Amino acid sequence: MIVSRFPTGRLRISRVVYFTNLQRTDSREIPVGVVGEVTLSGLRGVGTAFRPSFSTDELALMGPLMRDILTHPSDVLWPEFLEIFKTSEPGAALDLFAQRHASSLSVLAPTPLDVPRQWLLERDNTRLQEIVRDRIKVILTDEYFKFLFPPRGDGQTVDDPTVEERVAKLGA
Amino acid sequence: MPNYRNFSAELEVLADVWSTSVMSTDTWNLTGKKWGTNSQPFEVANQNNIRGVAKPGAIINDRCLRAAHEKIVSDLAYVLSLPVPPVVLWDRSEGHVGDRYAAISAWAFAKANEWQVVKPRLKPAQTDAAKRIAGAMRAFDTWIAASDRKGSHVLVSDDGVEDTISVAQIDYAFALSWEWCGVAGAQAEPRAAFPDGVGFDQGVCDEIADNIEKLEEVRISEIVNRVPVEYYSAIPGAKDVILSQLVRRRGVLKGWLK
Repeated sequence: MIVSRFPTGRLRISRVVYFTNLQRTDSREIPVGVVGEVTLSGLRGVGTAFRPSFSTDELALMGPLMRDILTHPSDVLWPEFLEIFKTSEPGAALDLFAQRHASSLSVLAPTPLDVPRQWLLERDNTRLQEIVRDRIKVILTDEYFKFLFPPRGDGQTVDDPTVEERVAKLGA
Repeated sequence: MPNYRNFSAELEVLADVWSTSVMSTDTWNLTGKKWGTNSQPFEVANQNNIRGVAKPGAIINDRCLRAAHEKIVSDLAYVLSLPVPPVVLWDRSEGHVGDRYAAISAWAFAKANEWQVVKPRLKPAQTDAAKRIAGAMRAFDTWIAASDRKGSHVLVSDDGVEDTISVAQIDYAFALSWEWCGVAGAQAEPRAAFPDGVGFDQGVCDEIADNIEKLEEVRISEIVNRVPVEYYSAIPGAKDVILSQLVRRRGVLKGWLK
């Protein structure tokens, strides 16, 4: 009998949102960005695409402490996510990150995305790292813009955002 | 009785209502937002635009009586003036695909951050205040056998106030029958003090243990027994076990907390 092993993987993306009033739905929710995690048999990685900054109006709606943190989201949230990634079991980083942020700043439940077949079939690890890195940037950017669009009618700006995307620690 | 609930007057009005009722009569709608944590909580809103966090968000076959635990713990905390947000039960009605019997927790604060975010930035007066709350909750968490306490289950109001701290302890799904009915092994007593990393006030801990000891059995019984039997269905006999353990542990609590 011949048994072939079908390669599998997992790619999940979570939206990150700031609730300006946790207690009421008739309040603004400010998109912060997206975070993602990919887990393949021989490779794992995480990436983020956070807004580079927020408008004065948006910052005014935040609590003082979180306003400090979100003035430059990537400076605080990326190192935190990366640290979790480095110390967690494969595939667990996104869930752990979400557990840490489930109040005003919320990492919402992840959405599974199709894993590109090329990722599953590529056997050259160096090449795999390259294609995952390139593609995850595109995916994160796409998900980031899906999250920001359509623009809300309340002054939220979406023009010329600088997407910060990174893929970390690729390799088995 | 000292009050460790630094909640708004508006929230306390809601707590007055929810702590003396069992089932929600509001119309709750799903907003579409979900969190990926263990109980798969999801956001709901009522006809007055009040947000709540409902759980469980799916049938989870681990015999954890999430909704019942959340409700009982919240009501006990209310009686003791401890900072657990109000909870009400929500029957999602016959025909609902998934777990029909849910609990809805109110948000304690308009803006809040998890303890691990706040802890490095505490002012001295806030550390002192946190120490008192940790003392109070050490007694309470030990009494109810809270087995899943961590920084992310302690929310701190992001209100800019620097001379004190407003804290809410959330997520008590894994308490009460979780250990008492043998679903999980019993942890050592006493339980760790949360918020963590600031120590705890032993005097406050003793004070709350006193208050727990003085709680009338009839009051505890009312809180446990009014939860409908369907909410205990995963563990036959759980209601009796919860009640008897709460009553029994009142008397031995001080010994554990010394």
